[in-house]
Amino acid sequence: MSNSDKLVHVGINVASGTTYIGVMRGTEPLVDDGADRIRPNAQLDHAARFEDFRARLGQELRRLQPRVVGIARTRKYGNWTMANASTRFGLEAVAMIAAEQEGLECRLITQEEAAKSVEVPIPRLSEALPKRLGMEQTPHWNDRAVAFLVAAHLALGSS
Amino acid sequence: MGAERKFLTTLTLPYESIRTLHEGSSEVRLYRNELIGQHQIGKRYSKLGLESTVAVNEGKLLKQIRHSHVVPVEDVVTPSGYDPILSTVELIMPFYERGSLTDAFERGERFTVGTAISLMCGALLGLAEIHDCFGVIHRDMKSPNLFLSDEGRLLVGDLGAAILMDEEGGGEALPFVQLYSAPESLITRRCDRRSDLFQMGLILHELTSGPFPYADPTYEIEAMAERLSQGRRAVRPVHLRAEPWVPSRLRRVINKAIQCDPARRFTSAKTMSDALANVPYIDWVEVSSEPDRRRWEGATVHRPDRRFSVEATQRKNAWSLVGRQQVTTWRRISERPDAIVSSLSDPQAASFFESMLAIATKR
Repeated sequence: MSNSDKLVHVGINVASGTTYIGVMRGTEPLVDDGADRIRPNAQLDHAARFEDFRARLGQELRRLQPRVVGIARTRKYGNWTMANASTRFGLEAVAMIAAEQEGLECRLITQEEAAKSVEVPIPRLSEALPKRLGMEQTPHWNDRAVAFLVAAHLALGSS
Repeated sequence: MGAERKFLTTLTLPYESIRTLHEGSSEVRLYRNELIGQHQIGKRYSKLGLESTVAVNEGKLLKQIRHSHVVPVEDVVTPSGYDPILSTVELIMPFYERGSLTDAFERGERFTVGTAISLMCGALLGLAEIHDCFGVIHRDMKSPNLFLSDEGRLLVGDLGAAILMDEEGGGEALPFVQLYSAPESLITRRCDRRSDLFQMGLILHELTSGPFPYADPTYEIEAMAERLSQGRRAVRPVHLRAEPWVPSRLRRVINKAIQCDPARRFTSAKTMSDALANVPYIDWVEVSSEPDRRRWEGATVHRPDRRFSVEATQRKNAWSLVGRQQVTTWRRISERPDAIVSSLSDPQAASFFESMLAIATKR
């Protein structure tokens, strides 16, 4: 099987209003692909911003053609402002709609579940995951690592 | 009856040609489908010189591109009655009442910074679809090839010159010189995504500062070819001056897109769109335009209730600029000293608008 024929898995992590994307092709992380993060269009009002985000994420998914899209569940349960929580859940919901519209399977995945199957400790995810996957840390790594963790969980589970 | 059907090999569509919209190397006709009462556009190309295009070789692919910011190709047909050597292909597309961006400019339409950004972000999404999902380079992005839908979207159209990217992500550049040509199209005869983005950068300049003077004598083919062969843009620097109300972040996006060296441009439509989407601006609207007195009013997207104005009054050979903010009534902004500038294209005028933006976006 050539590298381009390998199954693609996409992990998504929403953090600080930005959506980070991690892609695995087969069991290898795809780092120089251009799909790294999607920042909502700050100049649009709420409804238009969500629609714009759906269109842009949908386009990335259409290009990548993943087998499954995984969305990382948050580990944060307290000290949230309403604004932060609503942005996160809004973007997660729109990400699910985008995947559904592309005809892709979409799963919500806890970080604990993913860390267990990938065999990396969550507290040391930033340092442990690059070693585990044989990759360098990418820009925005602290937030993007979770997206790669979810993608790796999906990829390793299907290999 | 059944025997007659066997020999029926050509499908004739009930298109009535209403009028010819454009003549020249590619004819454009307005059709009316008599059965469904819908207007459609047919753009006819000679295959000569376009042998490598998607339209000639991969008509099926063009039909597959379905995106809210791309003009859909509804059919690719071969019109009858042409010399087989000069065989032609015709792309059938929807008809948009508002026409192209050039049509809008010719009607005197101008766009605010906010509208320009919104339109261009959408068109860049359409271009990203063509580039990244279908591996196609448009090669002919220009304001006549961007269309305004009734809903106010800007759509990438006319894929007649588009080609599939080769393994290096590029391809052969269009073999002719035009205002929107990127320098590499004449120097290396190659183009890639970044060549399309160069053209989008020029269109973004037109959206924010008005159309280029297409009929200017300095835009004759020979003069443009000479500039391009020297690694410069076909568009002269004097016609790339931004209006003073165009914010500096937006100018930087345009400058990056239209760099002569492709390596210094945006690498993808997505990155250009991201940069554009995060440009802060006051959406200035010119509310009064007299020879010696002009006034603009506007607000940011996030605080539409907090309005600002700039009034420019000409005195002798200089313009005096006064900034105001509307609270209950219009008041002069004490943080912002008034300015005297020799002309509105003076960089100090742009600085004045920029300082108004700084006040409007200050937290």
